[in-house]
Amino acid sequence: MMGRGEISWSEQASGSCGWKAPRGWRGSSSRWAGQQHPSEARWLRTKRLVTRSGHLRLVRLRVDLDHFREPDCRRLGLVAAHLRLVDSDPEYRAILNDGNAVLSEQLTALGIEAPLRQSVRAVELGLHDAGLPACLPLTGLLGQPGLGFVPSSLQVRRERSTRTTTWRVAVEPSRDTDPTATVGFSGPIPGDERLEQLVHRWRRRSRRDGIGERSFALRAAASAAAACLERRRCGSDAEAEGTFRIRPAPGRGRAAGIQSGSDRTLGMPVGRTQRHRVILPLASAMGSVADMGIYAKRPARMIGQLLGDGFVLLWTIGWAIVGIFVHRVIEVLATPPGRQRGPQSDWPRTFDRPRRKRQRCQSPVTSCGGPSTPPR
Amino acid sequence: MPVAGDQLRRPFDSAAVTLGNLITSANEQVQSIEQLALLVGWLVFLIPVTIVVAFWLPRRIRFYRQARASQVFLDELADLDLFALRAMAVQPLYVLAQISDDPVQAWRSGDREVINKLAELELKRDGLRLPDTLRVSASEASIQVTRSDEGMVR
Repeated sequence: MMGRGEISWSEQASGSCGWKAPRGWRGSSSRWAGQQHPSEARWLRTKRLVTRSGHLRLVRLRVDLDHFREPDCRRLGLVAAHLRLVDSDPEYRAILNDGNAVLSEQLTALGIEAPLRQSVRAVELGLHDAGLPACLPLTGLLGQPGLGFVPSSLQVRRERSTRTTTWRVAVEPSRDTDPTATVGFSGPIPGDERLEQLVHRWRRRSRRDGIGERSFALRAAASAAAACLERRRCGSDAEAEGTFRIRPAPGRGRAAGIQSGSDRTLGMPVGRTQRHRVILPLASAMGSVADMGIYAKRPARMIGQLLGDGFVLLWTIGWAIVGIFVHRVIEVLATPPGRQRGPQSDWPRTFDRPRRKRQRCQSPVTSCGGPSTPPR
Repeated sequence: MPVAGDQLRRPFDSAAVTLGNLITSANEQVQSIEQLALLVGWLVFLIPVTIVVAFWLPRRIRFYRQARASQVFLDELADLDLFALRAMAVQPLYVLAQISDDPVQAWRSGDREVINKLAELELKRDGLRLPDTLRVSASEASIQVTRSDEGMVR
């Protein structure tokens, strides 16, 4: 069986579920896009996948097409291709572009070793069929994390339960007090159409209630439904419920989430898809950059930082005082000759006075009292 | 001088010229000493301050950037997984061993308690604290996961 989150080989896929690989898709043992098959690149190029930021990054999501709990035949299909900036270092990752970005930790979980601060040009995510909820339309699943388009030829048509479905859906958002909505199911496992109905119903309700048709709501509904389905598939006869909270302003596109007891049973690789299927806190609990000052929030470290900054400040002031003192001490050396500066202009005149006086006396006009001067 | 004439004033003229040169050189010396004082004063100030600031400023900037980036991520309970993973990658092994015997397995299985401890460890490194709301949510999630496990066992 293909391991959890394992990057697997791929081959020409034509699964029993009706999946077909896209034209041009061929098996590739490479993990990196730089080694991808030319036909893949050609196929991707024909889709004109261009990111907003202009960075050409590739995320391929492939799903094993084998039936659940069946021997792994390693039939994989490319179900989504998406070009978006993917940086392995979250510190240097665009904040507004982290909806689908693959973190280095996620890459590590997937067995991809990417050095920090090195952009990953391509990531292939191989999801095993067993890790996906049963009867979950993969189109919706892939639309949930926003992994880009899904070719229409790849929309899944899987076997559905032949049992009659009597089910109940209750979506009860209470916007005034707690932005929490509960999606509940009762009855046998609903099929894909039911899930789609749920999504449509939620869409209508959200539009009617003025919440607005937000993609995160749809994602959350789909996530909740998927969680319920998975839980039910695992044998729980009780009513399954998935609770999620709605963030009023999604902002960075990370608002879809769900709190459900079946979080662990989804068995999907650790990634954005699973990680955000956990409860979202209230908006007041969201992290804010404005809250972050230049000092740590932990008292011990803050005291250390304050002491360090104070030391640097005192060090600077102290050495400034020392520098001024040294400057003045050296200037004292210049003081004794500086005292000569006052008489300096007088001494030459003093020594030059007789000559100037003699020149004046040689003049017949001026009188200097000398012998050549006629007596008054 | 009426009697001695110009011969008497000649030494005085040379003395005046010599003294003028002496004063000029003294003034130049004063200027150079003043420049030297200015230079030495600045050097005495700049050298030790630069040495300390060269170590202090990058650390402060690095901390600010890291804490700011971490603060951006610290908005959801699911983000604790990220910090836990970073802690596993960065923290020494003996520190990890104090938290769990198998932190990776605990992280993979979604053990909220271990994840919270690891996340706290990483947040501590970044100078951040786990928000109370997330702490409460984490405890609630761990309780729910435990109940879910119990239900599955039944």
